[in-house]
Amino acid sequence: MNYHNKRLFAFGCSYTEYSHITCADLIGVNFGEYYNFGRSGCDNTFIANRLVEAHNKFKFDPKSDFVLVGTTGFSRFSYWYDCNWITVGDMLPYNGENEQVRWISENLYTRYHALYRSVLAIRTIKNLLTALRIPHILYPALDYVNYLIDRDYENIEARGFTEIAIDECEKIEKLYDVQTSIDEFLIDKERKNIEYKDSGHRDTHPSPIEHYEYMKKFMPQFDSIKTQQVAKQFSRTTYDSRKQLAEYMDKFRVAFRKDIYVEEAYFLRDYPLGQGPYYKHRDVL
Amino acid sequence: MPSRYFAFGCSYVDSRWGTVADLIGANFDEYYNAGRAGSCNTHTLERFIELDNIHHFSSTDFITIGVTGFYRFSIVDIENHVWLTPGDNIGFDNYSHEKIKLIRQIDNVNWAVYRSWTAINALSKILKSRNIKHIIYPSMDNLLFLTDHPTTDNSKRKVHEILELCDIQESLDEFITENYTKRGIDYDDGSSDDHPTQTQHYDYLKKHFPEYDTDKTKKQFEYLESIFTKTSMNTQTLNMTKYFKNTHRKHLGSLWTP
Repeated sequence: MNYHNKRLFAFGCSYTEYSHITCADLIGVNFGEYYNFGRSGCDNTFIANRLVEAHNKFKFDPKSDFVLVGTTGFSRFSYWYDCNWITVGDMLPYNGENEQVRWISENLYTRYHALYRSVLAIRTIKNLLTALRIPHILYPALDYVNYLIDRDYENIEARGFTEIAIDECEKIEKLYDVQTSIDEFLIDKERKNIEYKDSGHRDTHPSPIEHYEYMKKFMPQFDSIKTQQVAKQFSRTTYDSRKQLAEYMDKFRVAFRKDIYVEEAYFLRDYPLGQGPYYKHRDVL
Repeated sequence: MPSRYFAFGCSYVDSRWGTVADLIGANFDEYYNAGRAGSCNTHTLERFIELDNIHHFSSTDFITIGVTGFYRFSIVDIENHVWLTPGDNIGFDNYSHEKIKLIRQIDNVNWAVYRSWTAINALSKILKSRNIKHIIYPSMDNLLFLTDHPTTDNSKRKVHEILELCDIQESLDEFITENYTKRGIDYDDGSSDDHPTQTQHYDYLKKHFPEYDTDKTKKQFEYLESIFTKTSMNTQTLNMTKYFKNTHRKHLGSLWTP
């Protein structure tokens, strides 16, 4: 299929937009216009809201558009505070340094509420895309099955879950167009993580080559020559520094992605996580 | 196929006495009321998605969405397996639940507008795209976000966009301010409730939902008046549950947290 005259809108977390290319990027290079709305550490409600915002701005059209949604971990809570989105990733439990997030994790948010919000957000995403008749792929980027295992009803009370919650959670598998998450896909494989020589840091996120292998298996219709070329360009797993990879990634963004921060597209905008020229149009609220 | 009506919103939809939704419901074979006092617009969207999953809304159904106050945040009280829906995050600082005090420390007006804007947008898009007959109307007055609150210009524009998504522009609050000198009920035991009265709901329906100003609606109103008591808030709450909610509404189904 020819995607040159079509637009791709990708949504998700760091498994969609990261400091190196992702599954969404490998698919996006095939499209005439490619918009990436991923944000590291965000929750599924954030993803659903971004989808609503993007549709409101870009008026998705079933004839010309394709939407890709990679859902994220369930135990997350994104919120807007002091003119910034706070998207710290999994926070039940939270081991980071943000005192406010720790306070929310320990005093306010619960696994039960987190599960509810995620399942309802994923249902909202599927409901909206189906209602709008927009061709799409909804897939679990991060593993969610770990929220369902231990189906030990004797411990339901202790875990704060009810039977209906677990049943509802299990049913969302049917909503996914791809059932296997990137995490599950990689679980029995020898990992090919990115490593930085200067710091010795090894990034546990799926590397570009792992994203490509996932895409090739579960979304083979997008495995074009162009995709293969880009995957090859990012096939290294060792870089001198983060800065070196960031420079490659900035070039990729400028070459293949459209600016999502067009005038008035979003009303809660904040400073970027990345610092490349791609971000120069971003502003503060 | 029985005609079905689903009503969503806050206490202006499900209250201690009859509401616009309860009156409209008289005209349908099956009437479901998913309103929840004090809930936020995000929770209205979540309830909508939950009930759609259970009842599979179709183009033969009728749905109303009563848009509530923007400055709300609904959370789950896991210990008691109930929703905490305390209403607005301003003006009611005496609410004692610890978690509500906590959420109020991080909530802010621009995030509040954002949450409502995305929720109402999603509801509107889903309802329109699926050809489900519906009316979105502002139950509560949110004009403070245009005048008093420290809302940014961008958020103010979004407030206007939310109003544009509504099929009715005048909120119940504005309607009452414009047409009545008093709102609510003073009970004989000294308690009071300043929610719109049954008569005010009925008058709002006559003005903005004329299609449902029918003989059945009139009979429903007369019935609701007949079971109403000013004795005390508790007695009226019991009356409404026993003689109306349990008899005139359909069971919503198995929700996560009833």
